[in-house]
Amino acid sequence: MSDIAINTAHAMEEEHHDEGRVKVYGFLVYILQDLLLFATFFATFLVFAGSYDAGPFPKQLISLPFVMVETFLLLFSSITYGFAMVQVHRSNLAGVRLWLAITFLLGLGFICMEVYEFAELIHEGAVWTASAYWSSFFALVSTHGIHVTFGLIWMACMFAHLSRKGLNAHNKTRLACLSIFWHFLDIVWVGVFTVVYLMGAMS
Amino acid sequence: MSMETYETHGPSVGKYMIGFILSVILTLLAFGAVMLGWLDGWSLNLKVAYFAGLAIIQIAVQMIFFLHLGEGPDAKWNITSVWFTVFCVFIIIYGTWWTMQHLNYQVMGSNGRVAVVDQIQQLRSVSAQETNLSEETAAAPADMVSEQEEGLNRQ
Repeated sequence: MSDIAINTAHAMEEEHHDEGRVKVYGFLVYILQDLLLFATFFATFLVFAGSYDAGPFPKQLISLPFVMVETFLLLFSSITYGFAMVQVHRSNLAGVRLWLAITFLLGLGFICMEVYEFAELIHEGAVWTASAYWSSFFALVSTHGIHVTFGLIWMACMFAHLSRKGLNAHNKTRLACLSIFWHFLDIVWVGVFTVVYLMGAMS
Repeated sequence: MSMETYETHGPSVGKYMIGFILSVILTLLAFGAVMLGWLDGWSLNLKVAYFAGLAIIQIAVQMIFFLHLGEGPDAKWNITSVWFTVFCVFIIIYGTWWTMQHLNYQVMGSNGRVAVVDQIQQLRSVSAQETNLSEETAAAPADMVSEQEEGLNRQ
């Protein structure tokens, strides 16, 4: 009798595990198609990379040290989320909470810097209606920023999930999906700082 | 049993650290090149190749060391999906750029994005002959020429 009970428990765990795996793979497919959205924005940006009209020129407005700090905030948040995932696999709830909180603060720092940067640009007259360049600039960079914001909201929701149910199978799956989301944001940012900021500062 | 397999496929701090250190180095190489002017003597194509190369390497590093797509029971599916996406992204970005570059050259050359000197000179002589303009107008600055070119296109 107890053998059967154990076997059933095992089977259920296995099923849960498989279901989680399918969800994580499905989420990866979603993120990959999100990458196609970013590809269209990158393509638009490249086409209009020289279409400044008479408006403000990016070379005078881009501050590379500022962008470098943004880049490192996002890179650090990527590695701290990785540490959170290590704690997930060790089923250490306190560790998950700690690293998730650090990731959240780093992501928030990134968003605050980006909002400040946009405010400065708009103050200098580089609004999204100024030229095709600035339209495609804001479309690309702010879409990334909106994704980061949604990642932060999701992380805040994870704290609520964790305090209610702890590290159960569902929450582990959610954290695995969020990890794909968060790491992909850093991957997209690599493209953004290379194409928009570094090449913009050189041209 | 299933928990054990779960554990063995779990990420390790060491792997994350390798990915992180490589990413930091690649980021510093990219920013240093612009901020410290390492590439000042390089041609534009070489500069673009340098930055694109660094970005592609860093994206690969993060996919391997942060996302662990090549590990676990779903590795084959993950890798197939990623290669398919890479293929689509290449078509979207390079295809758009290539198409628009040619459109720009063939159709919108007068809007100031692409100024091809010999084409402009050719247009100058053609427009001077066809419209019987005086020498001064024929030697007008490029924006005047482009207006004439637009006029020619309409004919």
